[in-house]
Amino acid sequence: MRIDYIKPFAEAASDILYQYIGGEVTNDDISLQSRLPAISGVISTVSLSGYVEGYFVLSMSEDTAIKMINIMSDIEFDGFNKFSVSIIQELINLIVGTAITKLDLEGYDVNMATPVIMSGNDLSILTIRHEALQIKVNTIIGNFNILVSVESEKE
Amino acid sequence: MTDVNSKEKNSNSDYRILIVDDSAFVIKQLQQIFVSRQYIVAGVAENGHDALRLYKELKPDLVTMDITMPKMDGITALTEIVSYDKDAKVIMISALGKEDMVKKALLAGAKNYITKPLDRKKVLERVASVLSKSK
Repeated sequence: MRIDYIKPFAEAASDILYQYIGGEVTNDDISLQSRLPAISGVISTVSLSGYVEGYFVLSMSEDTAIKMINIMSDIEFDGFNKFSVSIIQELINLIVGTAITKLDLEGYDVNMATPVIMSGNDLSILTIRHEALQIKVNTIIGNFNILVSVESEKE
Repeated sequence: MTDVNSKEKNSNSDYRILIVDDSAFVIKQLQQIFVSRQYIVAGVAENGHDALRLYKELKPDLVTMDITMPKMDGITALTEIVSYDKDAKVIMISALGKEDMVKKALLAGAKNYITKPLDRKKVLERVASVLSKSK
């Protein structure tokens, strides 16, 4: 997995989270995962296609998700409904859309599918061939966990 | 029957806007932006297919159109709307700022292209600019 495919996603996540949350946003905990860890909380995922193919997963605890929803909407939510879930959907849209725009500037044409949002405990992600880069983004409202796995058939 | 588009438009409240986006959150954001300036939100659609149907039914003055949506994407919906009404005023609003996507949208007939995150001032400026251009 080439770093120039991954870097735009890490940068976009930090940029978008900082725009909404402010404070200190760091993503210094980066590791390559050959076996993907089980994920708990609120999980959003997007499939990527085009010059590179793979997926982007953003997860966070339910508590952090609620805080993020409240910040983005300026409304006090204490649980999940169609509207609050659409805010998480928009968050991942913004992050992946920004990353794809950055990749486009580097000459890589990538497309995204509609995000899927899930919630649960110890969810396993099964993939056929990709290893994934795990990036932990720390913010003042909690941690966001990112998994990016992209490869190009054109190499 | 009175054609709502045949009247002279003197104020923002004379303009009717159709919002197309699959996110309830973005729809609400855009509704708040437009209502704050007295524009009328004539309808909302969550996919391109419904957008085309509502465009024919409501004949809005302007459409804001997302790109990545289920059933029918925004570029396809834009193309269908413009082939139905060559004077349609459609502004694309997307998190995707890819150069070829912007070109594709403008070539298909979009009057403007706004990248997210939504900026209230930018949205209102672009809407006013597009609406001020006569058919």
